[in-house]
Amino acid sequence: MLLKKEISIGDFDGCPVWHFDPDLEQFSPLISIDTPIGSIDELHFHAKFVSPQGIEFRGSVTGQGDTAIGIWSNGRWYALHKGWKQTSFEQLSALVRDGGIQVDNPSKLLPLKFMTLINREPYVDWSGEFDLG
Amino acid sequence: MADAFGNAIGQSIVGQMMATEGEKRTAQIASNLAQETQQANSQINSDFARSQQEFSDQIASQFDASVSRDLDQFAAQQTERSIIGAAEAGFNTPRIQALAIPTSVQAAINDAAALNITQTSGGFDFKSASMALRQQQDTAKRSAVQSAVESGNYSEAVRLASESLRANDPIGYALANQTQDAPSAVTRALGGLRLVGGAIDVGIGTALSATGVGAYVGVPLAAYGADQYVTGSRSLVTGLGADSAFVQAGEYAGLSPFAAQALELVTGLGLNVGGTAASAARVSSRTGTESLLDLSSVTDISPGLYRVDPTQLRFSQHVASPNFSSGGTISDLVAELRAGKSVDDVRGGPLRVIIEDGKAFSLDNRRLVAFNAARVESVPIQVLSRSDETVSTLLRNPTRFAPIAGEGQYIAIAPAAEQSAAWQLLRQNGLIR
Repeated sequence: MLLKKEISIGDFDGCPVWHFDPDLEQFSPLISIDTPIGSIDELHFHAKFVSPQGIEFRGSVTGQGDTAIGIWSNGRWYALHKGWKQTSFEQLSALVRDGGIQVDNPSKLLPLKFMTLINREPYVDWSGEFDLG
Repeated sequence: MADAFGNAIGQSIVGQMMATEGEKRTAQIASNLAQETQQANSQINSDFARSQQEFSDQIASQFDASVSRDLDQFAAQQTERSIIGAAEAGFNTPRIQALAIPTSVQAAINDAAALNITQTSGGFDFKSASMALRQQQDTAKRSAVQSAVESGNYSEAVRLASESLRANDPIGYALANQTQDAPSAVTRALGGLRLVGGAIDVGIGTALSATGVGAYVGVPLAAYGADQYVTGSRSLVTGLGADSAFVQAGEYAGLSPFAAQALELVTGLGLNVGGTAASAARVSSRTGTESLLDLSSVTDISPGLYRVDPTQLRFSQHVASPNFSSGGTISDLVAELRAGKSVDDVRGGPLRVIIEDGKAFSLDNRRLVAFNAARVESVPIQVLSRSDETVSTLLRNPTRFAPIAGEGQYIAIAPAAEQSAAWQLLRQNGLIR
């Protein structure tokens, strides 16, 4: 099995769903839906995001996308997690700063609408909204 | 002739009578001096014992307050622990191998046991424990100062002079020039100031002696302070001026009294300026990796390397495996640390730490469990920037970044096969977000 310490957005082109093993602390591509997992929160689904200003990003949602997401930009991940607001806002600020995004305040990028980009049977794509509030 | 003989006899008798009278007066003065010396000695011993008791009481009171706070924390943690236990039974969910608790209460209990403190009905006799600890520290300090002093010729001379004065004539009464000076309240007050200054110098000097470069100033400063302390105590008790061992040594070496006193003044100033500079250097070095950062008194910390008490760190995960991915187990590491392995030699480098809402969470949970279990006193940490990419990797993984009750005071240790069930269990009970 292919194991990776970290994945990039390019890895989602090869496989749209990756499993993170919290014990091994490594990612592996989820080839079969029958692969045993501990929780849906261990799965990362390829997704795209749109800010209220219409700015688009690529990245991933973890689980159902109600707790954590990752945005890929400037060759790295910026992550947001509802339980870690202070850290998430700093990640968002870094995204704005590193990408030269023109917004008054980094929090103006929220909420982010997302759509999964799995496009593979037997998965069904879904959409939602992520906010830190 | 007979008259002359008689006169001679008479003069001799009168002379003898006068001599006897003189001896009687001398003996009386000596007796008075001895009595006064004894009274003064008794007073100084009594004062010293009282100040020691006051200091012990103060330490004991601080210790009790700290323990009381820890016990409250422990009670809260035990409640949380019961919740998990009840849920475990009710939901028939996996067995959590152990619940690692980084409590200072445990450390306090262990400390008490190490000091052979008996347990009373109301708990441990912490006052006796703290006094015993104080006694241990005193002994250790004395021996440290002694060995430090023994390594330097300069300080050795002063120390020996002070020790001999203390041993043979604790307050130096017999050496005071009582025929020249009358006891004076001003001299007594100045002696008191000298005593306090000497004590401060001993304190600063002793503290600096434990450091590297600081020892070059610390050792002589401590010795100088001890000399001033002894001399000051003599003047305080007798109300008489007294020369320090430093001045006596200077005079013995051929200096005039004025020159010896001037040299003492210059040396004292130099050592105190040096001591202040060395102290300042130690304070400024607190931002480096060698100083111990108190996480309980900071709200945010700049990214960088620090050393902290590991019990002040929180777990970022709710569960961790008892095995390290690089091989070995938490128990193995605990055993190695207890056997003397240095925390700085443990594989993995400094513990990575992130600060959220003023709380310091370790990203390296298994090592933190081991450090706490082994009662390591300080560990190196690397505080990461919240915008760091390493942090984003963890943030995207809720199962990797979910402290129990949002506080991270606990972590469940469970094998990989049972971790997902532990996750469900804790989540169902609202202990993780």
